[in-house]
Amino acid sequence: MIKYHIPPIDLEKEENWINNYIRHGWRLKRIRFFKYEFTPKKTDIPLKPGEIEPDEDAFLIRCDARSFKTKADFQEYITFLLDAGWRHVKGDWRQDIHYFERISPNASEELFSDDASKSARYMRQAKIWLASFFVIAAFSCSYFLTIPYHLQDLLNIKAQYLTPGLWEMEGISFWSALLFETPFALVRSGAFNLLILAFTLLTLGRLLYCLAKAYTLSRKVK
Amino acid sequence: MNRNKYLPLTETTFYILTALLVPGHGYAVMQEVENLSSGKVRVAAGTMYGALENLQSQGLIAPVPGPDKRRKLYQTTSLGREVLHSEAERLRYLAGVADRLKL
Repeated sequence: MIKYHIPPIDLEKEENWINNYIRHGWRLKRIRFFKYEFTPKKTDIPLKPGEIEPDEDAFLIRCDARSFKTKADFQEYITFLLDAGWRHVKGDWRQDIHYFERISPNASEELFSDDASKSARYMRQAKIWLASFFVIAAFSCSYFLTIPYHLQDLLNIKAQYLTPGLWEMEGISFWSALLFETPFALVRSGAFNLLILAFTLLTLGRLLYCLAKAYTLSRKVK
Repeated sequence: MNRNKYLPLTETTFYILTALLVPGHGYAVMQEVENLSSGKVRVAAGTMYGALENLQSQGLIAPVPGPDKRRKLYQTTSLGREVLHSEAERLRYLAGVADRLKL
């Protein structure tokens, strides 16, 4: 079974979304971008070296957010979690959200057992968003500075198509010329600028959400 | 050096430092904490990983060379042992007061 889904900002919600399928007899096989592949619980997923035979009653997904300086540190991290009964399903070692599948019924049902470490997870997630915010913000600044835009151009996208005689063409030649020029017209009209701006604000929003979550949880710690 | 800045220790930290008086890797520490506390303290894997990271950056535990590259061995440092000792004194004193007052 394949499901497409945009991961929510809150990792707890992401876990709940996946675990809902697991409760209904599915097992998470892999994630690629927005594509989540589930297989029936009985299916054997080939074991990697060192992995134990999973217990299907144990299946649950939990997430962590972590970055590593070296691949060896990452190896050490997933080996430790595997010892504790968690199989690494997805996550790049440099900087990512890591998905773990609980494969031993002896492991606790949570990956984090106190509010301090739950708060720390949101803090690490915020750090990841901060890094991507810097990249996106730098890109959008340089973009806004180099490409002139005027708000009134946005209202008249048609005028941004510069192919001579475009609007008099017909059939295939019209559509291919239109499609070819659309990206350029969007850039000229400033619609692309707005898109980049929206993306920058979205990243900032995610960053602030994670910070707020980390803060509320840390206040619960005695 | 002001040892008191580490005190009081959380129950989890106390058990981890105690477990690591002999060298051990992450999962062994998780099991030892459960044994020492007679099953009362169960630290989840992600929390344990973060706790070991924090204790290492505080200098209370340190990695020691071991046979397996994929499983880091840790041991309580001399600073960690001093802190553990101060904490034990503090707890003994409290327990003494509790006994005297028949609490």
